[in-house]
Amino acid sequence: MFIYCNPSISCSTISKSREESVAVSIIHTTDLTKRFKDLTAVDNLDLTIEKGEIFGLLGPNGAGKTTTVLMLTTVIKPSSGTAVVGGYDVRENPNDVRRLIGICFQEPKILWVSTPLDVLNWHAKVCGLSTQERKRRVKQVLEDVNMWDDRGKKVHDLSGGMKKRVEIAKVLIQRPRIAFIDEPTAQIDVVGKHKIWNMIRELRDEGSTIILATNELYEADVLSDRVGIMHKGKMLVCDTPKTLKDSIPGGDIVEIQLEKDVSKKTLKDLTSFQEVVNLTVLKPNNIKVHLNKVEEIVPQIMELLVKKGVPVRSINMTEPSLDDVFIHYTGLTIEEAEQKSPSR
Amino acid sequence: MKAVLHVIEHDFRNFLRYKWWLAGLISMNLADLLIMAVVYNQMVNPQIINLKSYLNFFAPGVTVLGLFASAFMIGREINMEVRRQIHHYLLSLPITRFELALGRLLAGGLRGMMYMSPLLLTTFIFVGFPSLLQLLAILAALFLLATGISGLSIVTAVSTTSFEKFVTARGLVYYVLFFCSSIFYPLSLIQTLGKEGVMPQAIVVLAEINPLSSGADLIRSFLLGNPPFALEMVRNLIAFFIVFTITATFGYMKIVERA
Amino acid sequence: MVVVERDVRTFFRFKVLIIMRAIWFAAQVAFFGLIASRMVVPELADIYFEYYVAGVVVMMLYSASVFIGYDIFEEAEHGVFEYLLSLPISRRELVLGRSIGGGIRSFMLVGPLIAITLFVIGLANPLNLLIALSALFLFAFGVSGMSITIAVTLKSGDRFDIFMGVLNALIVRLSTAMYPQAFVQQASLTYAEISRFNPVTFASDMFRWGTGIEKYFTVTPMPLAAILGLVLFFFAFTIVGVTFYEKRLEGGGWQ
Repeated sequence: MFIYCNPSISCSTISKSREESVAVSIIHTTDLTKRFKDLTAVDNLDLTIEKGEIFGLLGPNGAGKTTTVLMLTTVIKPSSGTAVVGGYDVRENPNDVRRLIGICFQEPKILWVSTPLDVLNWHAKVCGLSTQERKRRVKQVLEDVNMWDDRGKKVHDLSGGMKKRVEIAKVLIQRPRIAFIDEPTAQIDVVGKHKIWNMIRELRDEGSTIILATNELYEADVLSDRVGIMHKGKMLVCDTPKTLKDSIPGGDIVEIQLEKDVSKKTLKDLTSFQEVVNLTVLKPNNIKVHLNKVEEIVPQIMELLVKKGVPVRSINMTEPSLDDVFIHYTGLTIEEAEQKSPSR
Repeated sequence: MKAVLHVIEHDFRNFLRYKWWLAGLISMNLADLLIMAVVYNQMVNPQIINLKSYLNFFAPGVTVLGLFASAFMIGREINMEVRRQIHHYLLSLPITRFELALGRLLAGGLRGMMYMSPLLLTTFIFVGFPSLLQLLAILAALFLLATGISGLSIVTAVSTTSFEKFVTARGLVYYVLFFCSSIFYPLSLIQTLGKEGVMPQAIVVLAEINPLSSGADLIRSFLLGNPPFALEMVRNLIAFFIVFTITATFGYMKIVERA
Repeated sequence: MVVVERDVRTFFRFKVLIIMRAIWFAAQVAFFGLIASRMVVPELADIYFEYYVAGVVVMMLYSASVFIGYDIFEEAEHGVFEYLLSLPISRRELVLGRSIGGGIRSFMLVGPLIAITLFVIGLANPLNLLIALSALFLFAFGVSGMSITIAVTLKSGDRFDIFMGVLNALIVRLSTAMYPQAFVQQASLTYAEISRFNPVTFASDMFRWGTGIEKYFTVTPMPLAAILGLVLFFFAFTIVGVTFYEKRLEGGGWQ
């Protein structure tokens, strides 16, 4: 299985030595595996997450993201392999691990007869907040997630989005050293999403390390410092979003509308750029260029066209998305990958 | 210890949220006492129960009945939590598995104690108030019973994988323990029927060791003098408490993590 | 008829419920009935077991018939309600169908238990039994109608649960299901008056009359008064149920 890895930012243990990786990391797994009867949900996962980063764990449903999160938070035990979270082994010292972590589950785990206020108050107590601090934080966070007015309603009467807000509020109140957030904005409206994203960034800025499990690629792109893409229980790639996008040959696309027809010589000169992977003439005065590092090459292309006396009418640039990254490494779209997932 | 108290608080709050269910249950218990027992008072042969009043006989039984139903409720909640994977949240908290299991067990028992206290008071009003020492003994015995029932309920809940199986198992436990006990009729009558061959000996033995019988008869022995106090009553309650406390604690710890 | 068929089919998917009811019946009969019959005064001793078994059948029929109300809340919660309202069936047909469906399925559930009861008690007069069973049908429909009426009136699952719990506690205990009217009267005149007009009393006494246990009648000489009581009960809750159901069905507000 192909694994792409940026040499300067370790995600597996290939480029840096294992000892070096462990020293700067807050989470480190080696051959972490989880089997459920015939299904291998997580398959020999090697993962290193650095302190203070937002790490996006991406993949379609059934990729193994949630199972990975559940193992790292000691909710379920690994079948084999090791995982060290905050310096503690999840098997040897699970109680110590749980003192460092907070988790926002994919499906809100709240009893339907409770109220949001009850749920969050109790959570804050268990996490050791003083009475004064608890009251302050609970009120603040409920207001931030727009749930203060509904704080006395039974969970049973809340919509899916509201329950999710309560779920994420637990982590925001707790402010743990390591936060696991599984699908933070599922069922939440656009305005709410942005608010929650900002709160996640604030949490990171305060020093928390955040592991974000999501299949919303745009969300991961916007928030994550680094991203790991999982598929069928394995980690395919792991790097910054920009680097991953740049790793797709010809992933950037530039469409140029010219004032007059372009000559063959000019076309030949354009293809001589190293980063240009492919050039298509859509019309005599309209070309499409597939290239890498668009932000570096486009000025050179413009300069060339000006030199050749071919004025540019308009230019349209698109970057690949993480969806394109996923397709590139798996040959499938996220939807196709979900349909083929063995856990379905 | 703090963590255990947090867990108890969690379960207590949830218990009080089921106001409607509690109101329904207490109305059934009171109807049993104030209607059924009053009518049976006219129908029951006093020589068989060795007491003048069936109402006096039955009142301690209703107390134990109420305690049983309310202490057993924790199992239903745990079964639902496991089915809906809400227990993952509890497992992710900074609480050890032992603290979590112990907290659930004690919460179940204390909830039973809380629920049955008005029924116990009603019993005292009908039958007569015990001395302080007797009261402490009754409360201690009922606490052992309540916690043991809570344990039994937890064991039932974590042993069944679906709601339907849980309901079936719960029903079996309910019906067997209710009817094979001295809640509604004296143990001596069951034993007589056993000697006559009408009741299988296994049922007689079950009724004799049934903790509900021991709990109800213990209260009767203090308040009514009949049946006379026997150490077996205390022994049965302690044995029940120990067996189901240990089984429930370790069963819960093992099974909620099973995945 | 399609509504009736749907309710009957749905009910028998709940195998656990059916098993539980059967276990409850067996436990009541085998333990409580048997032992209690040895506990009662001599004049009741030779007949009480049969008396009680017949009463348990009626109690089971009651509790099974009430279940349709819980179904309504399930449907409201899962949005199935809206689907039923969209069907090419009038509201009146819908409620009648639910009421009858609820009664039929409870009767099908209790049917085997009636057979066991007849085995225990014996059968004196088949014609009497047929009349009695017809009366029990009316009883079952009436209880279903009552359950539907209460469900759509309260429109709250929690309140319905408590109301039915309290009602169940009172209606069964203030009847002759478990004890003859003569003893109820000795215990309390108030209880006796309530019991006298209780449809569970009518149903219990009808079933006992049908099986030939005639020693302890309740109201006036059987079976006419009891039949009349059950007919009135059936019509009252079917008509009232229909009216309430029609008015309250639409517009949501279910909790």
